Amino acid sequence: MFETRSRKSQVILQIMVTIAVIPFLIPIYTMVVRSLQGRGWGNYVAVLQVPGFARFFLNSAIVAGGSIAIIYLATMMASFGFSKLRLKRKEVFFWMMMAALTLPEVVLIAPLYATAVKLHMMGTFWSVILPIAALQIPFTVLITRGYIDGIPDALFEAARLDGANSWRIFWSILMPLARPMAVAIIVLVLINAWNAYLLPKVFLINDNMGVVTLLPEYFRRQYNDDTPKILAAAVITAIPTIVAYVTLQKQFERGMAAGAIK
Amino acid sequence: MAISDKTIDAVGLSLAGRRGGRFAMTARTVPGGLKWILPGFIVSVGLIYYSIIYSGYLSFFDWGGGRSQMVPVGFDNYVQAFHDPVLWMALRNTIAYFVVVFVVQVVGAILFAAAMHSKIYLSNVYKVIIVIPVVVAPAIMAPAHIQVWQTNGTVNAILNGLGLHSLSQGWLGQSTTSLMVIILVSSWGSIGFGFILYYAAMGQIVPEVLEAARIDGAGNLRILFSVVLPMVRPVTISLAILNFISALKLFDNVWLITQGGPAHSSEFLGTMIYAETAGTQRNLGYAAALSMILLVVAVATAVTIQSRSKEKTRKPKLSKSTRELSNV
Amino acid sequence: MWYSRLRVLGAAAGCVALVLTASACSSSGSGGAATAAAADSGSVTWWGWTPDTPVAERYIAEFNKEYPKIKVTYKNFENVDFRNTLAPALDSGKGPDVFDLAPGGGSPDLWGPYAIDLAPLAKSVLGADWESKFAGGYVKQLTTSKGTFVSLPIGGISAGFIWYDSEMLAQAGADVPTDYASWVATCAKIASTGKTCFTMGAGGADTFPTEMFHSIANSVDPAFFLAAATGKAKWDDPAGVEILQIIKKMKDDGIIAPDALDAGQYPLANEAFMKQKAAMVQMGFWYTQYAGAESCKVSMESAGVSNPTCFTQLPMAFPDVAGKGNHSLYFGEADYGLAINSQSPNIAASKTFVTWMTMSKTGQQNVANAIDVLPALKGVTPDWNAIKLVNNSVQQPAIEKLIADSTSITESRQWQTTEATLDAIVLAIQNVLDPTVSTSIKDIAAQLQASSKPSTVGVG
Repeated sequence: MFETRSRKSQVILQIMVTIAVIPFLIPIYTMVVRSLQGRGWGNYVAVLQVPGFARFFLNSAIVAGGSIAIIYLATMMASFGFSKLRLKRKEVFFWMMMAALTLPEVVLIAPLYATAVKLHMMGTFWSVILPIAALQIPFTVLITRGYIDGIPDALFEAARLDGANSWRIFWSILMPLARPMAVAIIVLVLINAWNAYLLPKVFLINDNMGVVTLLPEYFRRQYNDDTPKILAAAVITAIPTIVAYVTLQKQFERGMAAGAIK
Repeated sequence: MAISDKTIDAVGLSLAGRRGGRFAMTARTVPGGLKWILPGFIVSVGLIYYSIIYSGYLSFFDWGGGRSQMVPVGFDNYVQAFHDPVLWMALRNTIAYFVVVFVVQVVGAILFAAAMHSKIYLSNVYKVIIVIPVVVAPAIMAPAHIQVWQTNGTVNAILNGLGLHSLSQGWLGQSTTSLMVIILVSSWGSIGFGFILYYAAMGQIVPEVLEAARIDGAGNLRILFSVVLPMVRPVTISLAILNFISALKLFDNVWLITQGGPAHSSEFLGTMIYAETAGTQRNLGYAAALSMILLVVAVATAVTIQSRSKEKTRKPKLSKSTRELSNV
Repeated sequence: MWYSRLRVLGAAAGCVALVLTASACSSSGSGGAATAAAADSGSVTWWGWTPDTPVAERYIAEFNKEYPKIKVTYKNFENVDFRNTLAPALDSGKGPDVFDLAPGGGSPDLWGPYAIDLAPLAKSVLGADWESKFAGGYVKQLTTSKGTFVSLPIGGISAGFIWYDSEMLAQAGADVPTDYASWVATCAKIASTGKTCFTMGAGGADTFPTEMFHSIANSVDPAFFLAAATGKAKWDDPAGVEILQIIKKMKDDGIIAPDALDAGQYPLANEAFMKQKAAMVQMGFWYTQYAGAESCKVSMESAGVSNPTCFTQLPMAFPDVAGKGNHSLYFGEADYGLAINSQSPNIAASKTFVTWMTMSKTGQQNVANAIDVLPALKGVTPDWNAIKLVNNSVQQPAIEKLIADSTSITESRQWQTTEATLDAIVLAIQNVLDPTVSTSIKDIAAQLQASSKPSTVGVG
């Protein structure tokens, strides 16, 4: 996007970006250094030795996968509906969804708990996936709707003139065009679901249903946290999301490049 | 049924053409939008609204939780809230926080996104670094932030190293600077989030548009803020709304770094609500009242932001000469 | 038209809401009878914010040596998560069988309605004079205002003393201070070795700083703190103002470290002490456990020290800072106890577990040997043959004296102070220590009085 015709301006750009990135590195650096204090790499070994370590990752993947599937589908459909389809009083519905964004999590626990028990959802992954979806959907719809607003109506007009019905338009036109935003949504939902702490803590009570955010708990004492090990757990936990982010970016860019060659 | 060539041409044309469907306000076509929004609506509204209604109901009581008595108090909780100077401090902090973090986020994220779309080495590495604050939960980064800002921490070490001893102070422990620390820490984290969205949105911008502007003689920054920024407007609006709601709800960063102190100087509505549900002598009714206030302020502001942005796009931007012509 | 659409939507949302409210209204059935005799087999779930999981698992392992057929599962929560999760869990009928219940913050009245009356159980195990078999005041502190005894105490805390690093003091050539002047002198000597004298974390939301306030209060006037806490005196009386003035002096004269407001006691003060950057820290009896050779090492590693060499930590009485000759007496109360959920289906097995933990010699011996809380049952002392300290010859007698002084405590720590008062005290300390605040001490004391709430617990 920035045009760098001369060698000099390219170097300047590179240097400026590097300097701009340094403040981001300081806390990360502090975190990694801290995780190696005390017992050094032994901290990481201790984290890997937590019983059920692999199981935690699997469970987090289940929660994340389930959340992404539900949220992605619901968001695309809802954004399509809000943006391109006719619906009386749709702004009212839109703002009702937005209102759901405003509640702090801690206020939700008691009513959600009663709900989960009565619907026999305690101890199932649904008790976590559904609230996560409920909390994320207004936010994803908000950003996706704006994005889809930016896609010209003319496209949909043309397809409708061709005789395509809404479903066809949705699958063949909207989904491909909305792919960049879809990647953003998937990444953000993945991060939120992966980092979910309070909901899994309260609802996934069975021993074999722990998620990765519970790893640092092993090293929290009543007062005296074992901070180096907590940070080691955090580093290990963060790696899959970073890998996912980088991979998705590459996939998406490759996809965009292929689409552009007509 | 196959999509006709006409449609494909139309798609191709508009990809090459100007973005900004708002300018072509054709009538929305298809009725029956309800069934599209229904799944999302049921999941989010169904689950959350029970909690909202429950909180609304609860705000008219004094209640300690569990089996302790629920004492009906009418509007007392709300009256108490509005008379509480800490609430007004929290609202002031929220606005200051919102303004700074939003501006930093938009400017920083757009600059980074633009840079990453340019020819630059190691872009993957930079992308990861910028996004890490978004990926790692605040609870985990907090000890690192404390270490950076504490009295014998990184910031003061740098200041001392640069010879600015007089500026070195107890950033976390002073009521005058605690809010500033929270704002800076959050700005740091917010850029990565904005980056993810802007990077995606900018990926859709057709190079021809930028080429055209460049041929007209616009420089890099000019292009960025006069051409690109309007094109990614929807993202900016969404960020404004999300930032405001986050500012109101703000909890993690504040609680983990300053706990709203010292002396409530960095208090936010989110921390007030948490403190009220967390204490041993809590009033869940009061917490619910605060949540209701939060909800009303959030929705009102979000509606305002959204509707004012819609107004701006409805008025077509005519150039001065065109306007003069039409007055003849 | 749109009516039908709205109706569809309304019906959908209404359906969901109906299901939820209808379900929320009904309550679940009852559990095992409260009068069931203790059983030998079964399973028990135990929820608590304390002890830490490894410690709890040790206790459970010891318990299983005597009762192998009872399976106990412990789940640890952070303090706040515990409160937020326990209430809905107990309300739903799916709560734990056994849960922690502490004296502070009106907890017996808050959680008591969910628990069974444990007086009959205690009587059947310890006899008619069972109340006197527990350390002073613990039973009263765990009884609801209606007189139901809802939680059997596991152990108690004491506070009001200071732990110091004896090697650091020796290196600086400093003496253990006994009054204000000697404290200033000691701190000067320690500062000259480049270390912090007295570390304290008052910048958090926790209430640890109130312990220092309480100790200073005891030095000024032994009866003042509890009088003001229960509304019989005012926090801005001359005694109260004097306490705040002493705190300010302590900062100005170099006793309190300049970074006191950076964060809370944990992690700031704890890490400074464990990293051997500070010579003194005020912590309660729970800190005794770090005199243990293994605990010391683990704790230093957690603070970030690689290959730590343990130092000798010793307790000292709080110096007479007011100079009036009042020995700053210690204060304390029950730390926590175990309550049995009245709707639990496993009451019998729970009774066995709770009895073993709180009323059996073996169970309480475990607690005593952990030197983390004071055992609730009288007459149980640590078995020094089983405990390896960093420096047994020096630390053992000091700890024994500390235990003896602690068990003769008559003054409560937080049981008779409301949370509003504790928070107000912390706020006042923050205002006194903040260099950017220019409010006068008298005004800070007045603010403290205005924000505090007198306690009615244990009064009259």
